[in-house]
Amino acid sequence: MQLTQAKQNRIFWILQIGGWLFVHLLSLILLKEVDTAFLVFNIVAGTVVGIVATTPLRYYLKRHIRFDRFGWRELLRILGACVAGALLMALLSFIAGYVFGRYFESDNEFVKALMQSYNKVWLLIINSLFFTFIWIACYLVIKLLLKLNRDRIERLELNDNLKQARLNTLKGQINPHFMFNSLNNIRGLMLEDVERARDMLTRLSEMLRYSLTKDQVDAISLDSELEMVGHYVDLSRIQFEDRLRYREEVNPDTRSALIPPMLVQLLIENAFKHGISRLKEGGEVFLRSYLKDRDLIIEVRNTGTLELGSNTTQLGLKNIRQRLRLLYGERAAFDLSQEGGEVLAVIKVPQT
Amino acid sequence: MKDLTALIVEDSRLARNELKELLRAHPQILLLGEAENADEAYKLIVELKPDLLFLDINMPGKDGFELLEMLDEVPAVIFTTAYDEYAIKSFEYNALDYLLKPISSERFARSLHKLSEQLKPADTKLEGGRLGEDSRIFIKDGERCWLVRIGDVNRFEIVGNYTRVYFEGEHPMLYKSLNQVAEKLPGRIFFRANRQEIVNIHAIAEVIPWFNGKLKLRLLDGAEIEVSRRQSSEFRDRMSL
Repeated sequence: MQLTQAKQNRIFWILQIGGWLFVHLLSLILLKEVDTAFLVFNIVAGTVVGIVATTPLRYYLKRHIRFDRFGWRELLRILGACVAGALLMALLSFIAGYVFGRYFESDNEFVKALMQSYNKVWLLIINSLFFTFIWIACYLVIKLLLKLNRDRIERLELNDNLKQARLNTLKGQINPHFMFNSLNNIRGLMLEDVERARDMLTRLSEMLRYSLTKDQVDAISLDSELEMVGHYVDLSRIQFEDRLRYREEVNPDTRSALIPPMLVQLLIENAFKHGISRLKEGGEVFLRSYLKDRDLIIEVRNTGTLELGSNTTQLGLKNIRQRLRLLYGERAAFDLSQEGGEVLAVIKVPQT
Repeated sequence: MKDLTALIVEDSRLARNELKELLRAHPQILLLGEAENADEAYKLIVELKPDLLFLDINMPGKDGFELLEMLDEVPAVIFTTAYDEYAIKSFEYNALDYLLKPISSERFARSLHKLSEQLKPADTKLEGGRLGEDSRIFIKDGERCWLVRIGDVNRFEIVGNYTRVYFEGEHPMLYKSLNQVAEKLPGRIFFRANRQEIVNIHAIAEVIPWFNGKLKLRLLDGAEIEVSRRQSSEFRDRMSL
């Protein structure tokens, strides 16, 4: 619940007027044997005195008390406000009592005794102190609750923004190394096969467009992602030529499954980097997708050995892991293992 | 402009074609051959001794830096890289040239021009398997790299099994023993002062007679080196010539 200033004002006045009225209406129950004139005067004057004496406190506290840095200074201010408010209330009560004694005659014994006590200033002050203290306590408790609530909402929003920002950076752009190498290779290709060079240029544009627009979405169909991966593989082929051997086996049921964009792309990139580009003779990369218990499973195998020592790999893997956790919590999984002369990466993306 | 011999070291065939196409406009560069990876390149460099390498940093197997580490003497190098600021920045000394792919013909021409002005005549190079004053060695210590002209080294100092190289305020570690280094140094300008140190004669500022017939050398960089007794008489002989 977050309140606007106007709403806060309205609620304050409802509580302020209602509260004081309620307190003084209690005298209907407490004071039995008194006359009506006194009762009415007591309720009306008491409510007015209460409101007039405590409303300035609100403005004072609002301006000078901050909960985020509550210390001795704040405590002293509150005590000061309490005493000042009480003195004002005592003074007003005294005037009210004086007015009543002056203009209203009453022969009720109880009222006379009560009026007597009104003349005792210290009693008035203690009475007022009591009321002011309760009022300030109520005021601060309400303020504190509202603030806690507001903080909680802010924290949630902040976390959400943070998550979004982290996701955006994690999505990652096209690897610049790949992009410039591709451009250079296309330039070279133009010398021998212009048609193919033109085709590669289009594919590179498609990839760029995909990486620029996918920033807005958290999920995309496997089909679109695979189209992108296809471009990536074809462009890599002009770099690695026959050193690159790529196969894929995609279950038709998985094509409409939703995955975070660039996820398969990152896996393939990683596989090419370790399975192909580091090896003089090149290697093989095999992509497979299937459904298992309503979860999408994506497997990428590449020739090579798992090197957990190298920093760059760790970063890419950490990136994938973080993205999956941010988006799916514990329901997604990512696993990397060595199987014979191959490295196997498996990702599980929940589909519900 | 003097003719230069060159070698292309690059794993992508199309990128090699690109470089060859760029070289067509520069007939003074004689292309000796091309290599797909560091091992192939090593053989060709040892065999053909090119003046210049066009070297890709990222290659399968060993990368461009590892290739340079394998070489005793490093030819002039123009690095070609797609996007690798990090690798380029690891060069601390001897601002070397690099080209970003795709390479513009203007930028390419400028690099070659700069290079031909820097390169000294090749005849000061190898003298009986030894390095010349203008030969350059490649040093990689941790994340940092240097290409150092032999003539610029003030001294070599033994550190365990390796050698510390002092030049122009830097002192990286070379992962070779001092004896290995000594075999390759030009005897004309380097002098073995003691078991621990080899000094560049041009870097000596002052020779101070020490006790027991020994000498002490003060170098231009402020270092003081005590010459062993045997080497002190050797030094006297050499200087009196």
